Amino acid sequence: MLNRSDLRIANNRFFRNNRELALKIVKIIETLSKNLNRKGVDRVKIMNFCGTHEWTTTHYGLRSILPENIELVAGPGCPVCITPSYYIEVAVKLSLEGIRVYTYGDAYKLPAVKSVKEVKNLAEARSIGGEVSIVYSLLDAVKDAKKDERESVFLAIGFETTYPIYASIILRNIVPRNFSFIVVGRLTPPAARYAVEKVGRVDGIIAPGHVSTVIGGEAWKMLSEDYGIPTVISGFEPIDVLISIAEILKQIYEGRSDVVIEYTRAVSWHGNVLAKKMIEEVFEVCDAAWRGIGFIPNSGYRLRREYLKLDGLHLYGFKELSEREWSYDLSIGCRCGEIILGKIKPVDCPLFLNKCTPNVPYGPCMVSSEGTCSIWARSRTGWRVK
Amino acid sequence: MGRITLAHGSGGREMNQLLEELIFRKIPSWMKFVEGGLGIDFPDDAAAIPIDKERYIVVTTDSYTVSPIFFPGGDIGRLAASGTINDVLMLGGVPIAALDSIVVEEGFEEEVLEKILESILTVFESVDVKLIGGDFKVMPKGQLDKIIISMVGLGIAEHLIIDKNLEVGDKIIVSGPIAEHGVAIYASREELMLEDSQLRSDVKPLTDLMIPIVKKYGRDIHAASDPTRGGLAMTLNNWALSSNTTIVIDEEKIPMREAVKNFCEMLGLDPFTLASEGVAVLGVADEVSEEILQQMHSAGYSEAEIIGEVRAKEDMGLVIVKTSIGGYRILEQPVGEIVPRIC
Amino acid sequence: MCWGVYGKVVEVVGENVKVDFGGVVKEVFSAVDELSPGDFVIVHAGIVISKLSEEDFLDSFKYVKEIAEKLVEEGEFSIEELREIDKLVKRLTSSEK
Ligand code: SF4
Ligand code: SF4
Repeated sequence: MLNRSDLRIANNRFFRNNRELALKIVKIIETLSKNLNRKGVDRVKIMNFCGTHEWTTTHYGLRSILPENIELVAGPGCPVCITPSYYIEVAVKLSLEGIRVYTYGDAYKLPAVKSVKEVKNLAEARSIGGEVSIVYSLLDAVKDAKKDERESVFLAIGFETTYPIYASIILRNIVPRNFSFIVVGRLTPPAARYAVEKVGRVDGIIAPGHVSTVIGGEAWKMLSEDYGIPTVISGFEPIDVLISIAEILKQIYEGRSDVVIEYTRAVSWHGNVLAKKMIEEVFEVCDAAWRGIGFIPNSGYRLRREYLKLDGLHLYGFKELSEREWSYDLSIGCRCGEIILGKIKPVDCPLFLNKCTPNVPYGPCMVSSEGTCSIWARSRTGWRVK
Repeated sequence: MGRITLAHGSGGREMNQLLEELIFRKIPSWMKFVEGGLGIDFPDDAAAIPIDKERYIVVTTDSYTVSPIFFPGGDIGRLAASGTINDVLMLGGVPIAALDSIVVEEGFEEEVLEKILESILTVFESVDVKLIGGDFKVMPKGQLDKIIISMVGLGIAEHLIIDKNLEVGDKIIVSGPIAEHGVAIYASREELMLEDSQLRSDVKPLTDLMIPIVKKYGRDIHAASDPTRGGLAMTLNNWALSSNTTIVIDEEKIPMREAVKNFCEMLGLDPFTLASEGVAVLGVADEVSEEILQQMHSAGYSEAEIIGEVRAKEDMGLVIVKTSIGGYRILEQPVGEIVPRIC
Repeated sequence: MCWGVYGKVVEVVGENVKVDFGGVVKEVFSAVDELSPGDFVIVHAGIVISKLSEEDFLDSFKYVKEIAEKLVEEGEFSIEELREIDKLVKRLTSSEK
């Protein structure tokens, strides 16, 4: 019954370019929200955890077709925004000492709080002669580094989704001799736990789909078990997100709080066991800092002992960031910390689209294309057609 | 004062700001235009000087750089010649002649230069435009990235199409699939393995499309542009701002090839901000919109579509996209250098 | 950062796979066992992180139906509305043939 020959086309037809069904689901959502209203629930706050969900929400204009009392807020969904300033400073330093730094485009303009030789990000470092190279993937960096003997580090940001590729390259033993990693891997469920504890009331959670392809639905169990929050692991098409919202409302109405996988075509309950195993072989979980927030227990990856020689920090004599030394690492006035936790919206920051724009970002949330401030700046979210 | 960055040249909001602050504001207003004509008082695709009561000279200038200089579907020569012709056309002019000025880097291969010149001549020959003058210079190695071509285009118009004249109720027509040039350039830079050459630049002169339509519908065409740098997003925002209107377009109606969509999705690029070099966007009176569309189709532009309309007068121009699921979002002017996302 | 892109496996090359993203083919790593040509996968930053399940592809819609049915039961939603949704999903699936 499905178009076997092309699931991509099927995906677009069912979940993306489907106005008719979208309208129906919106109707369902409206009815549910009216029912809730009658029960005395007048506002529903739903948090997403993934920059890509926020992107879907704004790009397809979901807020413009949903009832006003459903509030969609963005949580700590972008690994770029939460990369502590310290690691950027280290990368800038290394690049200026002639060690080539490979980075994803997203982290290229990420500003540090303290400047190193008067520069605050890798882009500026490059303009004064630093060795910085933007790559699309780790594979490109490895290939490139093999060409010469130049010492290189890779700024390895990412959540669980991005860690299989790091692990895979290390396990296959194809890391060039002149290559190492600045490991800034972060885990999402601990941050979710932290966010719901700190933010106050959240009525439902849209959990990240691609992170969950790796860690599985079970990783989110605690949200329902420990906090009683309806949680739906959602795909990234507009219809996916609408279905997830409807499901959350239904659970609230029925007084349930289950973990449900909406993204059935990609996510299983146990996740990608092979990928998890690969990550575990190379990395171990540790307490880690989130920019603008602080240390969150068991929320980071670090290389296991036997791979320590691949650790750039270790190799070049930098200390790992410790809880005692971490200090608030946002520039004065930037409210990313609160935005990442979903406490405020970008428009609540006085610097938004003022001193802080996508082209001249002041704070980290404006840098990555998934950063909440950047997404809002690009699509003026929350805007409704009269 | 700061330094000029690449973003200032990417055709987005930064460029507009820079031009406004550094250049336009410094020019006294009498110097901005010739009496009765069009100048940088209202920046458009080209400028115009009146000859007599019925006619104008249309003139445009542009510099062309592109990396790589040969790309699927064309090269820098074809790009320069087509771009110049299209700029004249988009103001309602009939292109007549051009002048070119080529600067190359020391060490540039003669054979390559010859090929580029051939491309220029082929384009001009196909649309009967004379190349009446030019200049040639060489810069020392390292002071230039291979080659820059500057061109001046000249034409005659009986009626000028000035984008600020867009009116409420006008329909927006796009003559063909968008973002093809931008994607072709990206694809050739990224050294991707292309299964087949579906990703080709659309670079071409639009003479065969524009001349008959302009002749027949002249005054009913209120705005015309080719969405080059900054893509459709830039063009429509410029129109909305200069005419103080709200433009609403329907995402589903915008013609785009599947391979282009897929490529953009793969790299996380926004096709609305990517350049076309062989597409016209027109804002036309509602009554003639269907007719013009039909004419485009029979002229061989079979993928032309009406993508939206001008809704309201507004102090601050605004472009709104109806999304594939029926929601609405604002289409912003592109900002910054366009970088693919991994996120 | 989980910009995941759907693609189709065209060839298995040792531990890697070549994936067609609709006209653009790239060789990528894989964190999924036993892929074969014709499989649809999600690629993120150069590695396959998941294989798309054909069987579960449309399971997402079961939530919509469940909710709609429930609403009909409670008299909040008309039965016609439910039938329309049903039809819509059916039409989509049958046009997929
Ligand atoms: S707008 Fe800029 S300064 Fe304000 S919170 Fe966002 S990133 Fe920080
Ligand atoms: S890393 Fe993945 S889960 Fe996280 S914000 Fe990006 S897309 Fe979402």
